[in-house]
Amino acid sequence: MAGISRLIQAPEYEIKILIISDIFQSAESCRGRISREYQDLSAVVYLDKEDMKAWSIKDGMNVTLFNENGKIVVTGRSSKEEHRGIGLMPPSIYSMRLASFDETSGAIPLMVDARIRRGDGEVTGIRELCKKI
Amino acid sequence: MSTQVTATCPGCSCLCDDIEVVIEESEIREVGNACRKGASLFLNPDHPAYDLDAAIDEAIEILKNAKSPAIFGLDNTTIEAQRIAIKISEKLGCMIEDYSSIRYGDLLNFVVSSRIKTCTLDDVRDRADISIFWGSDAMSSQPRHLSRFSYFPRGEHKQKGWEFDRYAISIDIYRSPTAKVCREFLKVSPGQDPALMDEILGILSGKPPGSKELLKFSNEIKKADFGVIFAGSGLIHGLNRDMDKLIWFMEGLNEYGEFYLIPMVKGYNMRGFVEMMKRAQRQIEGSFLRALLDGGIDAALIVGADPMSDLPYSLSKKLLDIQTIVIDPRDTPTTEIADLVIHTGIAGVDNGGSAMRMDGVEFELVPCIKRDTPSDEAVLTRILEGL
Repeated sequence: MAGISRLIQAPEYEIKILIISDIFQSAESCRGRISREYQDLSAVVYLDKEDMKAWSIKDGMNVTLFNENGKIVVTGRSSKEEHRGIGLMPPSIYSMRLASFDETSGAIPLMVDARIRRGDGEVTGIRELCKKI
Repeated sequence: MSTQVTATCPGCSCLCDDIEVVIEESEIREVGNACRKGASLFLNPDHPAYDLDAAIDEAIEILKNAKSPAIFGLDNTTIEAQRIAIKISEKLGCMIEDYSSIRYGDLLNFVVSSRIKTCTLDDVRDRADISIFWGSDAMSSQPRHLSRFSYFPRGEHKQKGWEFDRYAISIDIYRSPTAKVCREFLKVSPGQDPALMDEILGILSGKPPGSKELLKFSNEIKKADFGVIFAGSGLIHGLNRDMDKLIWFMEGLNEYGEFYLIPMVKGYNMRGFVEMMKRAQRQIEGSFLRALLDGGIDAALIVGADPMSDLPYSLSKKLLDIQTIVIDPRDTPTTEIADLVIHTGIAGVDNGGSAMRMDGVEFELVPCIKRDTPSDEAVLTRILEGL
């Protein structure tokens, strides 16, 4: 059964996730980081329009991002800027599921390699995500 | 009846001191001059009352019983609270760390110890010919930076403003909101910042340019008497934390004019924490993140920070294995998992104190309204006394 579901799963693509500041998310975070508004601005990946076309991802569609650090479902949004192969995510509990820690330098790299595919569930709420540790 | 006061905003490291706040019936009704982030902060509602005495007693108990506690965060709190936190770390003989070295490597220590030339934002407004936003996105993180200091304002020696007197360029791996506002945008591939520095200094010394954009940028550097690099975490990552390369580049630029660097720090008082540690003759000993990963901490006092949203999952999940006390005005994922949460007021809104702008200039944060919510300083002072 697992084999069949694997076969019908949406195709995966390589993507680099760049963690960037977003004024709208940052402004909302001043009120707290638990609200639905903050969640909607955080559980998001901004994608290049051409990438979205090539990967058959529509604006507002849920996507799954994953790498060796973790897996997360977020909303895919069309970016106004061109950045082929790069997905932009604001810093939050969502993007941190994919982030890594460089033990040698003590740094948290702003860019990580990941894979993306369409769909695969709903966005997990922040409170629920905290419990899922 | 309404009253209007002028306040200083702790929304980011610009510490804008021209915020107009209208107060009516002990509540903030309107906020003028602030950016989206600042306005959001001032219009934040108060927290419901809680038993502060019991919370402080519990915090003291947790810290007393811990074998290897640590203090973390502190970039979004006042200088006064930072000083008390440093004293608590001395009392407990424990590690204390903020995000400065995690995000910016040694940059802030180099700036504070004058190993890298720096200036104030007032100097920038009055004198800067060229502003270089390298790996930093002011429009998203310090939204009024360009309008108050670095690009748009008329300054003492810059009366013609951005139209004729100033040149601003963004160097980044993508066209950020700041890049859209600046006159030029130079795209750099990830990790290619050292090569770009080599190329720029090469062109300045007469080597042929690789592109028209680089030639134009190099000509602007040659023309400038006063230039500033606004260095963000993107630059530090791009350099793979190689500060020698940055110092070498700054020295190279200074052969053509006066060039300075200002770190575009994110926490409103990160600069203050680095300065306070220096004044207390303390250095960051060890790494909070490594200790967390290795199980070297059994309790953490987290002040004005949300590591659950700022640290990779491999690290943040370790917070559940230890006792955590969080002192913060907001509800965050870290307050969700904490053993003890002490909600405090926002400096400059509910409580007073002082903070250091990104350029090291100190500002007083005067509260605009009277609320009963305690300050970080008051809570930390009582914890110190209890210890």
